Amino acid sequence: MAFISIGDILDKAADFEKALELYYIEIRDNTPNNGVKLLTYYLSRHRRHLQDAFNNLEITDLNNIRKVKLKYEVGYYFEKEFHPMETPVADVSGNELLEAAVDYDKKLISLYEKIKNQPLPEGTGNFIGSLISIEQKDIVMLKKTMATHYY
Amino acid sequence: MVEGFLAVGVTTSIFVVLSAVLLVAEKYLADYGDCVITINDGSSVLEQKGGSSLLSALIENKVFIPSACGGKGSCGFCKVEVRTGGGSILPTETPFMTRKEIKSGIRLACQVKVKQNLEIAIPENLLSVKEYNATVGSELYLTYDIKEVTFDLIEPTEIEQQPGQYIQIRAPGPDGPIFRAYSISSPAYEKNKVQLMVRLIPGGIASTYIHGLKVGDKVMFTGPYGEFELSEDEATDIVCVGGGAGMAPISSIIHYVYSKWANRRVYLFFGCRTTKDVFYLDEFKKLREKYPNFKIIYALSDPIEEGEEWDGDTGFIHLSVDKHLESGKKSQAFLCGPPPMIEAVTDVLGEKGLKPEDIFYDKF
Repeated sequence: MAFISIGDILDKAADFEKALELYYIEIRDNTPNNGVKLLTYYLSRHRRHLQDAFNNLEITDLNNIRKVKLKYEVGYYFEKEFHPMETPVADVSGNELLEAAVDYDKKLISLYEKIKNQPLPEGTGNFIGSLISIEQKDIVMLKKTMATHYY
Repeated sequence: MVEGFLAVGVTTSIFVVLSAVLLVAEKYLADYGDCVITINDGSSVLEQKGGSSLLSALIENKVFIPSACGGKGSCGFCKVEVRTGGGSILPTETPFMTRKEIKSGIRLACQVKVKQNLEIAIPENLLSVKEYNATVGSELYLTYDIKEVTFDLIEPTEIEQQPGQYIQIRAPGPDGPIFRAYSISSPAYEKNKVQLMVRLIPGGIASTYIHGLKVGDKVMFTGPYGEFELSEDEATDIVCVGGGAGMAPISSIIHYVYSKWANRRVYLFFGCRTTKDVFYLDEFKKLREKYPNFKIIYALSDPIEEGEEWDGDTGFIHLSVDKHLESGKKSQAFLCGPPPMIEAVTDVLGEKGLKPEDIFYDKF
């Protein structure tokens, strides 16, 4: 799908977040591992990164950002980039789950950086910058959680 | 298609070159002169040559505010209220702010450049934060990856700290020194030393540095940071929940409480994976002999292996909190551990009747 406006990308990213939440529910329903169950609750809650970014915006600003047209095709396909883990849902370990979450964050960062490198109005560039920072912040938290070996 | 990529490449290159030119020009040509930074309506006034970040300017003038990432804008700790002279908030700052904070002028000091006179406000207690030089007095592995390190203070020789506070230790990083925050585990009444518990994080700059320290090595840190909220009301129960190195502030709180209130009820919930991760249990059991209102609950999340002895709980620690903690009691809770643990425990505490303002946590 060719992205025409920032709104297109935000809609697609929101769909992706919803798909991830459903995926986490599927893992939760199938895993016998209580640590993994616990992690899926946490990851679902914290997968709402777009909402976090929107919270700092006035509605009118958000609407203006959504209307911004992209000058160049970003060459990015959510369906291709984002896929479930190869491990069957019932066998996913806590560490695999966290590693995959880091990977999803990295992929989103790569998408947002492709957009940020395009000529954009200042407010839009700032907004995309804030999306990148939210993902980076999440990666730090996920890596710290991995280091505890608790799940 | 090829033209599209070419156009993106050329545009990107032009932006990169222009940005580099601007940065070089600003570094060598821009002269902001001397600027005045007024803190808390004039309770402290600093003179500083313009051009550096506000965070660097404050550190240069021995005003230490929390910052864990060394000014890279990735920790979000160095929040200050900038009343005048700070310019507009940057996109690198907004992810760390609530809308209310943005409206009230809160900024990340590392992202604010000193270009003109500034008026800022910071919590008054930060003005008493000091820089400490110390040597490593002792080191002990509590588990295979958690080390307890004690620093003997050299200059200043004493520290005034409250339980639950933390320091920021300087560690050598690839691009210069960095600072990382660690909770103090030693009790507040031990004024000549500071003890930390540090888990080795693979690839972690500061944890690798601390794990490599030997007795006699010199270290530098700033502190103490953090506002202390422990209720002085003896009838309020204290609920401490931690995992791994999250034991540090909890240990400090427990020792502080029993140095003041021998009959106060304190719950210690400690979650870890296996018996290899258990530490301090015997020490706490000795403390319980002296203070019978001290309740200790350790829980292992992995199944017990055959032949292992374990008389504590099994399962995740929030389940133990749910099992052992009475509902409706007047309590304050202090939590320190991985974020999923904190959230699960917070939910349970809410069900037990604790209000959000009575739950304090440190998601490390």
